[in-house]
Amino acid sequence: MASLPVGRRRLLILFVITALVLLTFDQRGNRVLDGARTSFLTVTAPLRAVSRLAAEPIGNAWKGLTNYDDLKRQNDELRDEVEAQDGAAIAAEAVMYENQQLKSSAGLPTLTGITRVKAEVVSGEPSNFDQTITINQGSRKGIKVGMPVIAGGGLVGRVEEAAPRQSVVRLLTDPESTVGVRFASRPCTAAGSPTTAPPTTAPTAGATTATTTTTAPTSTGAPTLPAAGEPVKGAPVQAPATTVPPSTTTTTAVTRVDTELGRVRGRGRGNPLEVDQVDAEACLSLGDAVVTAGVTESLFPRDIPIGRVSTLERRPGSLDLLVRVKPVVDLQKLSIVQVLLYDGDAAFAGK
Amino acid sequence: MLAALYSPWLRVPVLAIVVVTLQTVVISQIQIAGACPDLVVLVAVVAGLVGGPQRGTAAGFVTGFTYDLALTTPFGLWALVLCVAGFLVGLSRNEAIRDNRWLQMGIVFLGSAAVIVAYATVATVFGSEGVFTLHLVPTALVVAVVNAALTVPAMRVARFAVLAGDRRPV
Repeated sequence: MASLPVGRRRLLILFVITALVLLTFDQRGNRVLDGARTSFLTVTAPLRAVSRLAAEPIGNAWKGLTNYDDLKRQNDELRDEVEAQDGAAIAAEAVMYENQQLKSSAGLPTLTGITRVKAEVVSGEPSNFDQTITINQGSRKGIKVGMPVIAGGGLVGRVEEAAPRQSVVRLLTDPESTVGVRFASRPCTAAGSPTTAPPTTAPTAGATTATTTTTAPTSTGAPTLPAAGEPVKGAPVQAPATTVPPSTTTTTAVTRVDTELGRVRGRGRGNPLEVDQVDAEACLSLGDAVVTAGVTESLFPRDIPIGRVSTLERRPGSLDLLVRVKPVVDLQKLSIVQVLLYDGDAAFAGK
Repeated sequence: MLAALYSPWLRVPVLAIVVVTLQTVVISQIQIAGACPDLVVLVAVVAGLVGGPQRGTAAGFVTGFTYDLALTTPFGLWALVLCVAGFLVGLSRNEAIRDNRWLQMGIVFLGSAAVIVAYATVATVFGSEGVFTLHLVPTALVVAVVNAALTVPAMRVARFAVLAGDRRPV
């Protein structure tokens, strides 16, 4: 086989070395490359807008043809769910309001106190290997890299790039995405298994649904280990004598205990999220709500709903539990989102 | 100035920007078996088929670099994979392939599938997680089948861009 001409080899080697250099710089974080991407986003914004406008009618027609049956079925199911949850939503709102009040009085960051920027999704995931979306608001509205993005029921992701008029949001399903979470688990019995009363609704942003309002706030900033003599995780917590009088609406003095922490990672488009670092003895059940942990210096404020536990497996010989979470937000069908102008460091510094 | 319009150095970058924009805004929204077609891969592969290894390498690098600018994946990864793909596909260019449409489509099919697998492999080597999974199979198939179907029009566009100003027969 004849050898390749020197010119061809040199060109290939030159390009390969250039690509490897770019990769190395990017791996270490490089502001020039980040700036180049932001500039490309800005410069091509008009072309992207024109393309989107031109393709939208065709896309809608295609989706209408291919997804009509699914859409109709989903519509019917959603109507039933909405009706069933109307009552539970009212109760949850009352609890959420009280939760936010208690956090405010304790000087803790609350979701209601965070400015939000509403944005429209202008383009979905751009390739098979990139789980990001582009929204039509950017740094001109105060959006910065790292800010959390929510939609309707819960967390969508965080800002990855922020140009003046557009931003790129990395979705929760991206394998590079990680979020610190905690489980809104049901209280455990003395034997360690959860009680049988299931939650009636996924917690709305900021809510910690509870069966009683008797105790001191269950969220007290960064989670801490129970002090000596206090019940271990999962056991009912007794109300201290000096706090708010017990509610008259329930006969049990049981408070939902949110102590299990973990880190949720994306597993690609359409796949449930996976939670790492969950103790094998954790008191969890299918359907348990998962919310952001909001620990010190976290990028995300506390109590943003993420989803519900959809898989629980105790793997033999492993110290961790396999936990998968179905996101509460359908990340494939986003149209309007909100960016929380939240700075984790400033929030915990009390600014 | 007018001569510049006939230069591949202008046409290829412009083609890359247009294709990348179309891909990220329009084509990526078409879902088939959980994957979307990838016209950027198509451009790099047919550039090699039409222009040979040297032009295929350059066109693949420029197209990949532009794709890297538009995405949040590791910068330089698509440039690396597509420049090598353009080079390797360009090596297969010969008289027999030039006159045989089915052979051209076959090369584009295999080349596109190989690019997707190669990208996932290299991405995993450079630390990306969750890329090399079973979902890669339907992704590679979707990209390969769609690209093979679009070979003929893509080759016309590639000739216009990569062989601009070149009077040699293709």
